[in-house]
Amino acid sequence: MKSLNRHLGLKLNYVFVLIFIYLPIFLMIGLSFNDSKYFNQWTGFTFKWYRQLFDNQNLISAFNNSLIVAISSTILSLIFGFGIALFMFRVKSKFSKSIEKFIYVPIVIPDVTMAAMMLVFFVFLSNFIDLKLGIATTIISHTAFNISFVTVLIGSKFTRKLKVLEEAAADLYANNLQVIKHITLPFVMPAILASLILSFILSFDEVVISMFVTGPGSTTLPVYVFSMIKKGITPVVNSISSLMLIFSLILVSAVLVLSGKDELK
Amino acid sequence: MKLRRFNVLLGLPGVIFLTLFFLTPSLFIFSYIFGTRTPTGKTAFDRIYFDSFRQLLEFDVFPIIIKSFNTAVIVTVICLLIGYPFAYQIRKFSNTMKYFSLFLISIPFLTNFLARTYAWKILVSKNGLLTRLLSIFTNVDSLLFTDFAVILGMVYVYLPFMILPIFSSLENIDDHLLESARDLYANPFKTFYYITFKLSLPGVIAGIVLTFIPSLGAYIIPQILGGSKAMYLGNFTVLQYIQASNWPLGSLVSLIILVFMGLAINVLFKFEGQKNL
Repeated sequence: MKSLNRHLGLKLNYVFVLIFIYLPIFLMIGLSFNDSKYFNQWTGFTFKWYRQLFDNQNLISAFNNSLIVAISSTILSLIFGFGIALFMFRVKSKFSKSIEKFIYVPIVIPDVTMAAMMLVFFVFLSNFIDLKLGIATTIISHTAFNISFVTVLIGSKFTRKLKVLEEAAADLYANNLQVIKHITLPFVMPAILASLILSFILSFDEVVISMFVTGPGSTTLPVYVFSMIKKGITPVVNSISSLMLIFSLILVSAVLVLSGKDELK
Repeated sequence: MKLRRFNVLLGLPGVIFLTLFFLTPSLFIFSYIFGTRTPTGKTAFDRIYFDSFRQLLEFDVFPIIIKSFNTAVIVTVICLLIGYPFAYQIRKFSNTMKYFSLFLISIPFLTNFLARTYAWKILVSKNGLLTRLLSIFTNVDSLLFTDFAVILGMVYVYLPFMILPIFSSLENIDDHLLESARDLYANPFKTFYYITFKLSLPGVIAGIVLTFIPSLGAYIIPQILGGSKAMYLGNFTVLQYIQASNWPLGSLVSLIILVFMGLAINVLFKFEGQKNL
């Protein structure tokens, strides 16, 4: 009897946590279709709040800025991160060991701290070169934290098994570029795809750092939405938040499917 | 030798980028601590100032540090209390349910954090679902802009950070160990404590660090759910940078957050080291 109660407690906790996590999300998505302006009454189904989004010119340009930043920082961090991961895998030295530790710092550093130090640095730089806070500084800052995620994710695929394969290829007189092209790249491809999507999401959802290093006219979507949210609960915020959530939901599912497939191998 | 040079060349661009745009900025924030705010809002460096340290007392920063610290501890404890049983339950599921549950818990881990905080705002505001539910028991009008709302919001957002590492260390426990404990007549509580709990400790520690650090430096959640008057370390830092233009004080406070972070990570690595022994 006692053990039955214990199991019941575990199951109740399980259900409670899932409700706790998903209820607010579903509620918000539901409300974004509510015809009433007030969230505590339901007066009918409508798409009008979504239509209003497309008429909002500021919102569209913020979305475009976010896309530019996310795509650029994804590409840059993939190039840099892949290089570092490969370097750490192939060269075992004191230097690569210390990079291995350092690479976690941009991941765990609180966003407020990173935002502050990027702002301070860019403002200092602008004394010497023609640099204004805007899209470029946002791309650089996002790349600075995305590199670490890419390095860690791709680095986890650089295993002994790959080493053996690479050595076998080298024994068969494959040159360096051929080894990378025919062995290394195909082996780490799932991790590359996963890190592409992950860094896109991280950049696209980032608020605090963007808020610090972006300038007038180059506001990103989350920064714009954040300023709307601070003002209050409105149906338009419901719909844009739902859209952002569903957008990242689709991308996350893609990552999970990709990395899940990989584990089956 | 040629191959080695090629490999070093591969890593070089990324290392240079991080040195230039991460390491250097972090040194800059150090130097700003010793500057002072001039009436125009710019920071002066003509000599070494200790104004930021003095303002730490003047502006009552210590109560803010203590409040943020307490909040982070409460959030971490709640996450542990509901996260551990949740991870334990997933571990006991059969494969299909296990992966489905993991999928369900990984989704909020990565989906838009701003939107999720906003979703929570709807629940705790005036006439919100949770407010109405609680008003049955007590006399509340709106939970929004209370410490309670901030704590709940943080638990909501950071819970997956607790569950996932605990699950992965639970998953690594060999079932044979549990069986042999049973064979040796250990009661369920002893088995749980000496085998399951002790072997899951690395995951628990990782989970604690991963919830504690972001709770301590949080800005968005206190801002949305606590209102602009609620003061936490993250908000205070942003306030110094954006509104007050007091960069030396802002730098000092963000350095304090960094020190806490360093301590937390140190604890993590200590435990990891013990595990390997």
